Amino acid sequence: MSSLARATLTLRSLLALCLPALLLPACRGEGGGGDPSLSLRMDISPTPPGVGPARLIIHLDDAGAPVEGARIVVEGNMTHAGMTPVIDTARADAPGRYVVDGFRFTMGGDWILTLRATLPDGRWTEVRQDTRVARGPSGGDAP
Amino acid sequence: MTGLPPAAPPRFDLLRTPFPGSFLRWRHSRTALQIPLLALAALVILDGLYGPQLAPKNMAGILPWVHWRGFVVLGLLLAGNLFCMACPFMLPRRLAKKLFPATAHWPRALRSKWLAVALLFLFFWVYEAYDLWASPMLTAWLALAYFAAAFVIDGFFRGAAFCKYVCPIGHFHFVGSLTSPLEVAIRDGEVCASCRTRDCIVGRYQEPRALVGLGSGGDPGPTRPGATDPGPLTASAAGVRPGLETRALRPRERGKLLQNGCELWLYQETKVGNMDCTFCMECIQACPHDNVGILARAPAQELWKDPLRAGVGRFSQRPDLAALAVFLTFAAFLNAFGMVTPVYALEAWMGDRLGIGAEPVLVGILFLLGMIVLPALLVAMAAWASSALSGSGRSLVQEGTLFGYALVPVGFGMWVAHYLFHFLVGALAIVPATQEYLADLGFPLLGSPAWALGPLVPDSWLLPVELFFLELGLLVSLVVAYRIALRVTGEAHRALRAALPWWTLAALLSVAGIWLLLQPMEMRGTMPGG
Repeated sequence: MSSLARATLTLRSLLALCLPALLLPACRGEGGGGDPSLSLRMDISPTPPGVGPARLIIHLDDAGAPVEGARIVVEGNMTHAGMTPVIDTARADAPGRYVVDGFRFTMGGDWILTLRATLPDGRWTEVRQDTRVARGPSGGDAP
Repeated sequence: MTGLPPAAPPRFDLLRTPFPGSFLRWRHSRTALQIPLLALAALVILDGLYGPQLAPKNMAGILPWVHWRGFVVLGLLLAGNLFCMACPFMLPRRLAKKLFPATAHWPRALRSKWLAVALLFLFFWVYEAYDLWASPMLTAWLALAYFAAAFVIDGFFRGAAFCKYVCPIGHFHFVGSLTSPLEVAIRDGEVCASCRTRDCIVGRYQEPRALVGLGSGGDPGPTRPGATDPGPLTASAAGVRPGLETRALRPRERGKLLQNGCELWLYQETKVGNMDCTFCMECIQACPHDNVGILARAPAQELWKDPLRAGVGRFSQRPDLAALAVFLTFAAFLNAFGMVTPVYALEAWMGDRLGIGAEPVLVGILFLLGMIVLPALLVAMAAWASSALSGSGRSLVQEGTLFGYALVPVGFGMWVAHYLFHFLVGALAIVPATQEYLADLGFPLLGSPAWALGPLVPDSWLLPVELFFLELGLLVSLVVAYRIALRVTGEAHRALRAALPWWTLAALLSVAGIWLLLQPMEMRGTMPGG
């Protein structure tokens, strides 16, 4: 067998081996989505937040109607891999309003907050919100 | 008593250990190391392209920027250029060598390290301006571009042109490995002196390489594609001993190539140290006398010695190499500066003064100043002071080229401090990321992601560890500067005066490093204008 034929065979074998691997990761992908009638938004207090605890106020409604009894988990990640994420669960505060009292930003910089709400009937929604955390004392409004 | 000096004790030889020596002696050991890394590279590319674009949850965010960088500096610090040895980009490149003729000569104008310096600058700029660590997609495209570049360049040009002249990562390894404790080197000079085949550089063929003396002025010429660098070095400058100028049988006269020689044109008998050595082990496999090993040596010693090095020449006559060393030293501090709070204020101030809002432009200006202009100025000042104090009469370029290598250890200390920080803080993050990865693919074999995993050591250890490596680097830089000065002046008093400006510069860098390590960190990457 010529060296060119051997190389072509090697290339084809590699491609054949790689093909399943090419298909598998397509199963992964962005989070987000869920039930389009659900709306989830969040305010952070203080704004901008500083390193340390912050209060997250989350509003959940279903086509404009406040939703009660949902489980809402907030996960904060830094932009650089390897930093331990901060994960907290919101408590109900009022109809359609949920609160995390002491969400602890552990470092200054850009954070990505992922909120996932799951309703008692199994429907869910997820949103992602970027926020910049200031180093030192946080400024802005009181909770 | 023979009156001869006692023989030097044999150096530790990694290849003579039961493990990993027995593995490394195996002809396919490099391929065996490359295949797992190729699989990991494929994982990085695929997850980067198709996976969630949140770096902490994507293999392209975790594996290159936390683990690979951490293992690279540890490998360089504790052993040698292990990551060039296991480089996955070389597997497709090997295929390219089979598919394409690879007969072109690398352009003469590019046979230096200047291109590598420019590409490293481009890489650091892209990394900071476009937040590569926060973008799995960009990271994946970068890896793909790397595979493509290695494939195309080495499919077209002779030898390992990509490794020797282009690869920015490899050049980071080359410079870092100058401080490593291991090197690929010959075991016994007498064996090389009696060798007539030089398989370590020309390769081993079916037919032995019969040599015919040419007399004075003979030129052996290339013996097979890629075997000798048609580059700036003559055969004698490349380290081939006078008297061995011979005509060899041409490759077509010698049958099949059984084993490559060094494709970076490092002739073992006169190869010195780790510059340009990818630990590919071709020479080890090619040597018919089993005379090449992976030997222990005093780390950083090669920085102050200046012999004629095969395939490299003399350090003191390579301003491009010295520039690469100085560039990577300052880049270590700039790269870390990009992660601390004051960089926000500086960029905002620059933006206001220059009326520029685009972050890539501001980062470009900042890096141009910090990686090119400032090093050039500081090295020129140190060179002027060194020359004046020692009365050497050398030009700034000559003095800078002599002493610039002294800064390598302090720069490498900063790289180690920075990359080890990320590794120690986040090494275990690969566990929950893998759990989630498998769960997303429908195989929740490892249970729910344990996101609390991450750090390898307590927080309180981080700063002492970082400071230790930075200051260890400074200490070695001080020794190297003095030993260079002693070599060129030949006298302790003048050596002290010549070394003083370089000590000052290394100490200034170390102070800058301490200041950086004490700054609060800020991870940037998603917010516009960040």
